[in-house]
Amino acid sequence: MINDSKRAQMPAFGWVFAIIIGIMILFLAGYLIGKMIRTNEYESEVEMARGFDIILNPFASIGGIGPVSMGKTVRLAQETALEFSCDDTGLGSQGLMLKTKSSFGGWGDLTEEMSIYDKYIYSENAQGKNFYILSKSFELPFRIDELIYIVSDDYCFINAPEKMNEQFENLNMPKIKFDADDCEGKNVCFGIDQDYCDVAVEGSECEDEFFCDNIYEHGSVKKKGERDTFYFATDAMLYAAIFSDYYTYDCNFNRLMNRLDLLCDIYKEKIGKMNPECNADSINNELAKLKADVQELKELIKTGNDAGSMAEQLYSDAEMLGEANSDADCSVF
Amino acid sequence: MIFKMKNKQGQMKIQEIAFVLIALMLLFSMIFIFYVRLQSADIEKKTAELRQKQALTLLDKVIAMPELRCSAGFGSEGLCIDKYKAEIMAKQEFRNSYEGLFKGVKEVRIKEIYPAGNEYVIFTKDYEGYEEYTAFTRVCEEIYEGGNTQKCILAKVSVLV
Repeated sequence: MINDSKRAQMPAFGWVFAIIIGIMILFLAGYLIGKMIRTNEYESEVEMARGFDIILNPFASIGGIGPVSMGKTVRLAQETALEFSCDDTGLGSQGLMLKTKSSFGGWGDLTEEMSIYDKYIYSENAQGKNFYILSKSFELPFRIDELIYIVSDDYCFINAPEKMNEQFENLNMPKIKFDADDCEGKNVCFGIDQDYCDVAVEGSECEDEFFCDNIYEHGSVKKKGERDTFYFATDAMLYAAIFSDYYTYDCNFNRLMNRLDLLCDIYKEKIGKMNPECNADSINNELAKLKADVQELKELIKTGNDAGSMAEQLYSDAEMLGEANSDADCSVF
Repeated sequence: MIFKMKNKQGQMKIQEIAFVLIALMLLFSMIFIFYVRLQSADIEKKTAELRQKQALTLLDKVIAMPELRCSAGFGSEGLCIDKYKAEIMAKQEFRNSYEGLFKGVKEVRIKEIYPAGNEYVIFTKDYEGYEEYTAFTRVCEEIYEGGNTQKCILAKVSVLV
């Protein structure tokens, strides 16, 4: 009786065993394939992040060739979101992390942070397949470096000065429009502060036209939903304020001030090496003033005080230095 | 007797299945190891390519750095290196200050080659194993002798990564 029952159970046991093993193999295969796909996606994301840094290199060195700006659209194969961290210690760095839309739907994990030490990148919620990248030389009055803006949103520049319009027209930027009637996107208002303005730019009055090409060479930017005011000096910083969040703007500003401080030291040493007949004393004096401004600014930032008022002083002292350099028998920069 | 025979047959079948499973597992493991090796070789190749690209673009970046570039005031908007700036940047105090800008780089140096002259080590760090990438440019000294003139020397810029 018992033997009969065991014999009857044998084929059933075989089936159950095969099914269990089958399920285990299928589960393992599914798991491994999933892992492989995810690893591949992650690998291509890391590669993309590294590639993104390389793509940005020409934008970062273009200013060395001449006083030009550069604008290009970067098209990616997948929907991608970029995130930046920032460290303003010394010359500082920025960390790039990105994530792509996964093949299983939804967003994948953020990649490990990839540090970028030699660039100043500004962006705000950059997300999409197409990114517009623009660079502009930050000069105060000598070139400090290129500022790189990554734009993924559409912007409408309302009441912007003609000079700015011409600059962007030459760059053929599809994301920025100057015709308010034919525009959908974030409203950037110049000299207007209305409810429809997402970004309000306020320029400073220039008493002497000689020192200001337009009234937006220094001033402030206020953004809807942003508690802090962005203070800027030069149009390069103005674009940085428009296209980035406050955290990135503030951090990169500190990094740039540290770089400016070092450049002041280099130019001071250069004056010491130059022929004394050059009469570079006035440049030396103006350079010392600019360095003092930078030191004061850094101190204000360190102590948590509002450094906004310094933007105007920094700009005007830089202009004075530029003028002294042009008037001198030998140029320092 | 018949039951014992059938029991042995059953055991044999289970053993057969177990061996097939072990063989399958081994096969899959081998395929997986092969795939991982292939992938890691691919990653190493890509890393080397990216490093090369990074080094080549770093060369452009070094030549264009405001800390080294000739001044615009001397009419040298083109790519040349200011001799005075190179001398200043080669000083230890400046080398240390710019350490952050050259992370992952072993050395950056400028050598005057025609006519042969000075060598300026802009940055140096102890790293094992490196590749050298070079570009050519001019090192110019801006001289004032009543008017502004430039004396230029052909130079080699090397980046060791």
